[in-house]
Amino acid sequence: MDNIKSMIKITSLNKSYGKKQVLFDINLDVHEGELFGFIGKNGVGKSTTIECILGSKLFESGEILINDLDIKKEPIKVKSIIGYSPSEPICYEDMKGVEYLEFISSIYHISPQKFMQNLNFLLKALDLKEEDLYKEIRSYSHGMKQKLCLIASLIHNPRIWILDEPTVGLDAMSTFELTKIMKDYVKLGGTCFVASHNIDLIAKICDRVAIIKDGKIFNVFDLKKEPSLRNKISAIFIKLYNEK
Amino acid sequence: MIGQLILKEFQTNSLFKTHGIKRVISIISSIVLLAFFICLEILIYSLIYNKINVYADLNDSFFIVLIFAITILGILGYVPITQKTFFNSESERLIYSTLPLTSYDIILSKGVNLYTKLLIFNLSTSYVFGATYAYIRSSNFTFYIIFFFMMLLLTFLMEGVAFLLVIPFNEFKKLLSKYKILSFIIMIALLLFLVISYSLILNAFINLVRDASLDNLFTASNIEFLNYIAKYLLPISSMTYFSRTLDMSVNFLGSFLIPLFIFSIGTIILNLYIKKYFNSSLAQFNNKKVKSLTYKFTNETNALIRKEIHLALNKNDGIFSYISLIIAEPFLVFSVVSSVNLIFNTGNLNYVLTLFPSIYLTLDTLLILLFLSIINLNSSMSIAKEKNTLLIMKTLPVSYFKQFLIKLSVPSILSFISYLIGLILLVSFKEISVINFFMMILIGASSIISLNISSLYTDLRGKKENNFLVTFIGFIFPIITVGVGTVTIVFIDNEFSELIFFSIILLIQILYMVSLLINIKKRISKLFLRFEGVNL
Repeated sequence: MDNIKSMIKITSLNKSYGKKQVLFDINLDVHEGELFGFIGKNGVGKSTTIECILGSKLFESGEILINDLDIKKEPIKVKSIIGYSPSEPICYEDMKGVEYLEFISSIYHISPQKFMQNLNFLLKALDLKEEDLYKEIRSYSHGMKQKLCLIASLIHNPRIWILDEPTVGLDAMSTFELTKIMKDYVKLGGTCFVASHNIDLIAKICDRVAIIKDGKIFNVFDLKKEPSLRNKISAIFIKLYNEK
Repeated sequence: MIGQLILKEFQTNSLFKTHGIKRVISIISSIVLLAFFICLEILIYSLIYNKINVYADLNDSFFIVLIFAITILGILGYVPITQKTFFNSESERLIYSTLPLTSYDIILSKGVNLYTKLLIFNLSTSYVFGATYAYIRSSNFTFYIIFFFMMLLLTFLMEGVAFLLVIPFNEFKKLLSKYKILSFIIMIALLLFLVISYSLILNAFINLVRDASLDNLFTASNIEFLNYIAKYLLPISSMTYFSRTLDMSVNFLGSFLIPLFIFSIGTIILNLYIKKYFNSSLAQFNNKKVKSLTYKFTNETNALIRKEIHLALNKNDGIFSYISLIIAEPFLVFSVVSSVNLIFNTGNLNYVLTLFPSIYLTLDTLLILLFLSIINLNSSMSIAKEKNTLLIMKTLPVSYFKQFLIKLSVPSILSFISYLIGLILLVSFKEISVINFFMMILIGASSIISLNISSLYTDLRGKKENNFLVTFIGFIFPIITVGVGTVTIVFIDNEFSELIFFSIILLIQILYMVSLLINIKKRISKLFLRFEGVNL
């Protein structure tokens, strides 16, 4: 166990919106090179946890270490190694696809060669046409915007890839391709944290899965060690949410 | 269903958006403002009536031309509103296209709201002039009633024309959104037109203030021309004659048939267009030639600046608000400052200058700073424009302070260039002194930075609607600084007065700007993290 490096380490995280506490003493440890699933119903704190990890939300207490760096103390260093795809595709809609990707790449200081290499691979993998990148993003369909956000989140070769509901708006083929990219990404040593309410997908591809309910982590299941759990996660999830 | 749709349209009206005490305050303040506006109209029209009464038969023609001009202005003003009402919401198009609604239902629901707004406009403008006209002429009370009905018909006519014009307007807007250069050229042309019109109106106003005679304007040939065209300005001429004489035979066609006919034609044609609009597919791509991918490498700062320029030029609101104001600013500042100087230099107000010689300095400086405030407060849109993309800003590996500074720099630089052009115009035409020019450069620069920091800060605190800080820095602060400067030179009256006056203003401005910068640097991270933009 000692040689396993922790890429995302959350300790006693508490977060409130005004007087309403939404996260209660969250503890999570995501290892390097693993595909970590984070499941829960809508509105239970998945996105809030992610935004705390990203350093885009304040939290009252607790500690979040990303690659041993404290998000509160060294946010810039942390952000430079993370790629994030939000639940709703968010990008500058007045830009063309290519302009948006240029913007992101410039911020992350990507070399033109690396950019082209990554872009060609991702365009092909996500079935987005090159000519689509020359259209204004506002004219894209929801699925196309989602694909663009996925490309933008990976274009700079992040060490940690965080995805919030990545399959929403994607067709079956693109979902299949995305899962393949996620698997390849971790195979190459990246760490992938994926939040979703698509339990079947998470159970199928993830190495470990955490279930969150009412802002508290219910349990973390190691599906790599116990593959039989892959078929039971759905039942566990439903049973948990049916409990009062 | 139709009733609910009509109600929905009224609920989106700003007066109905607020609740409780805010709604009461909103309604009362609107009524007070409207009452003030009506009083002003009555006063101005009575003044004009008395002034032109000396020219035979001119008042009738002038009244018709005036109402016709208001009608044209009303239509032109309502075409963009109609366009916004029918074609601006993509989500509404999506919702409406799935509901069991006919295109006539959509026109009816939105048309009722538009008709009401247009009627309020007519009653608060044309009808007020009509009533004043009737009162001065001691007309029979029937004029007031008949003219009111004429306003109902005139509103139908205006709505019908607006329905017809909204189609080419919408197509034109679509075209402009594709070609930004074209929209920029159109915007410049429009601005020039507005600035020239503004100067003409200002000159006319100055002439009135200076008590000049109108003989140059109302020559015999001009009066003849005015009387001639007034007869043919249908349906206004027939509506006016009908209200006055109740003569059905001659004026029935113009008063009744023309408005209803145009309204019907407008509705039918708009219906055909709307049918097509609500049934067309949502994503329409233009088939541009595909280029092979080229990557324009730039550094982090340039990338952020480019993004800010993108946001500042962001189509509809960008080009037609902030940028247009920036372009118009030098001309507007020059027009107003030179006019004020002219008023105090000549005519009845010349004696003020002999009593208070520094009034020039005070008024010019105050006007320039107030113009700067009005123009620059609009640049605060840049954070609000981020909307949900604020999440991107939050996740970028760039410090919040740097992002804030870049957000500050783009509108500040644009504003400063515009401001500098205004000052160069003023000093070139000797409207301000050379000392004034150089000092105002420094004062303006610090003022622009303070204004933009304040509005960005207010934006980040999410208090745009209750922005005391912005009001303070934009309007109260210039008055205080100029006031302090003026009071000082009243007591220290020597050859350095002008320099002292500007130095005091500059000192206060710089102190305030530095304190704002220090404060924002301390709090920027928390402000960014607390700012939600949208609920994600």
